Amino acid sequence: MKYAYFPGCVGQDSCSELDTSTKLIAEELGIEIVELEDATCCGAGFMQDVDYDLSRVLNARTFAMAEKLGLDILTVCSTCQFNMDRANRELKDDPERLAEVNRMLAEIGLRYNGTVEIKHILWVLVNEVGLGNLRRRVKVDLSELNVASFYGCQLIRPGYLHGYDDPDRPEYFEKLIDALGARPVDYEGRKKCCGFPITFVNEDASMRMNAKNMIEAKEHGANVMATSCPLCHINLDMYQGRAEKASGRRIELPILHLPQLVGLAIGISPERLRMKRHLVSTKPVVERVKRKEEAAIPVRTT
Amino acid sequence: MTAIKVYRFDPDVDTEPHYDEWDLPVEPGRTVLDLLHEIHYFRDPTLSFRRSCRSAICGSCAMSMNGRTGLSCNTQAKPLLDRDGYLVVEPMKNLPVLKDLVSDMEPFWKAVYDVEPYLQPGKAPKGPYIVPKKRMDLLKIAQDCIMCGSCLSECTSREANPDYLGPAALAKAYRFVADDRDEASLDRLRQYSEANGIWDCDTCLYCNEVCPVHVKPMDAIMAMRERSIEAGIVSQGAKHAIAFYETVLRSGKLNEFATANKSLGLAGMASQASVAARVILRGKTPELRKKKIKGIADVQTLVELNERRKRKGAGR
Repeated sequence: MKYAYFPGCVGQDSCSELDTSTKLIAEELGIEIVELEDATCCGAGFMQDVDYDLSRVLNARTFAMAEKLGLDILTVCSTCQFNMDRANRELKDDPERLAEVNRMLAEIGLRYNGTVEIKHILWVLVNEVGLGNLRRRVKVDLSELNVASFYGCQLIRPGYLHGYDDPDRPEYFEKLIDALGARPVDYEGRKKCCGFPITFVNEDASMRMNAKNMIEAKEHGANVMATSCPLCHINLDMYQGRAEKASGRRIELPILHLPQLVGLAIGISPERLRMKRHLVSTKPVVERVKRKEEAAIPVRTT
Repeated sequence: MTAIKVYRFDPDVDTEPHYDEWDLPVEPGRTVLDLLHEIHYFRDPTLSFRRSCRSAICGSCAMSMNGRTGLSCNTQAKPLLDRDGYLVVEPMKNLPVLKDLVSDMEPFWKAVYDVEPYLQPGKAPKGPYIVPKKRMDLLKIAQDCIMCGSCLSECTSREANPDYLGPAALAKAYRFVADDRDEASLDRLRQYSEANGIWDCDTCLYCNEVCPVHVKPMDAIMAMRERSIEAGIVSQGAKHAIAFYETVLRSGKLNEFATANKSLGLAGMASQASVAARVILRGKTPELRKKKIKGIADVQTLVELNERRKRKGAGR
């Protein structure tokens, strides 16, 4: 298991705890990573809004770098996953387009042959690290955690692009949560939009979406949410206060990054996972988990 | 025999919707519409639903089946049942219900009319107008729309904002923006760039996912965004995208701080003060200056090559 790691911009900036926790669990779980330090932004849809062709060429440059290393690309962001996956598909499916992109890449001494796959860490954890393996590595009892997954739209739709989860009934995240010993929460909002892409355009609408999903998760028993997308994390965590204001409801739902949840289960401390960095306190999560050996000490009753 | 649950609501009798259940044989090959017909013909003639062609052409039988909107005439019942262990049929989401599975399409049509969905060719051409194939291909992602409403039913932005034009209307809009013969494209882009238009799409991809005839409304919306930016049309969405783009071109990576700053402006940033204060407190402040990636010169070369290519007329 060796990957060219694409950390994404937000994952190394305002959500840098995502990058930290990814590297920690990768080391623990034997996922070897070579960071693509020289890669550009995936475009996140915004670059594509300005110049679609350019963002595809820039992504092709990233693919060419991974190909040179002989590695597939590992992402930790639903948005990176979609934008790179789509660019990759468009190049693989159209030899003429690939040739045109290669004429440009040749000017900077690169070439892309279309052999790279882009994989999100959620898929790698479930399919390659393996659920049984993960289950055996769990050191901390998460059974008190009712975890609402939040996929991020672009990790599950469109189904015809990704080909992993059924976009109507995604289950990778739930399988992972279950393997980590926590309880997955079933609710509709896990497949929906956090609202982040329009926060700067129509904050009211964005906050209505944001609040609705979190409130629904809580009503279904969630005491923590985990997301596979740092852009969702921005809306769910950083903007949770605004969502509370918009909905007139207290939400107070801690939001973890997927690798933080994994890290917690396999015994990495909340401090090392930098869980104090979140705006919504993660203390209730830490209080609900206990190390397995502690839990096993029989309690003497008087 | 399987129990099929169907949403019922008759405004003349009911104050609240309820569900009725019928036991029906669900053999392989039977569509959800077949089951509804059986109920209507043999069990309960009061069950109302729309349908016409029964072959995925007319677009009248869109409804929600086990939570996903699609055409009941081309949705097989057995695979749904096998996957979920149940069958639930409901009217479309994001639209009012007239009776049972019949949605009020009025809000849908209003959005479609709002985009002026007809060719505005300016002067009448002197002879036949031959559209080059390459230009015609641009319409592929939009022109097959059968106006069934499935995309609007699943649209998450519309759910949060009923004034948003929605995917079907905007796909139709693009069909004219990208039509070589249309002379109103620029005015159209200005109109669609206003509030509740192209920039209100949250790119959730539900529309591309559920369209039964493989139209890609989200791609159409994104293509219009690109054209509107190219035409220099100012809007909050365009400002944000351009700010994002510029920071990436400068360092190779997104600069979150500079993007927010430029996109929102001073007043906008002030409105974010409550978030910003807590962000700083937690040490989550994004870097003010982004270190350039090593290959930034290569990135700039690619930008130039792309510009040169565009000048030669190789557009999307």
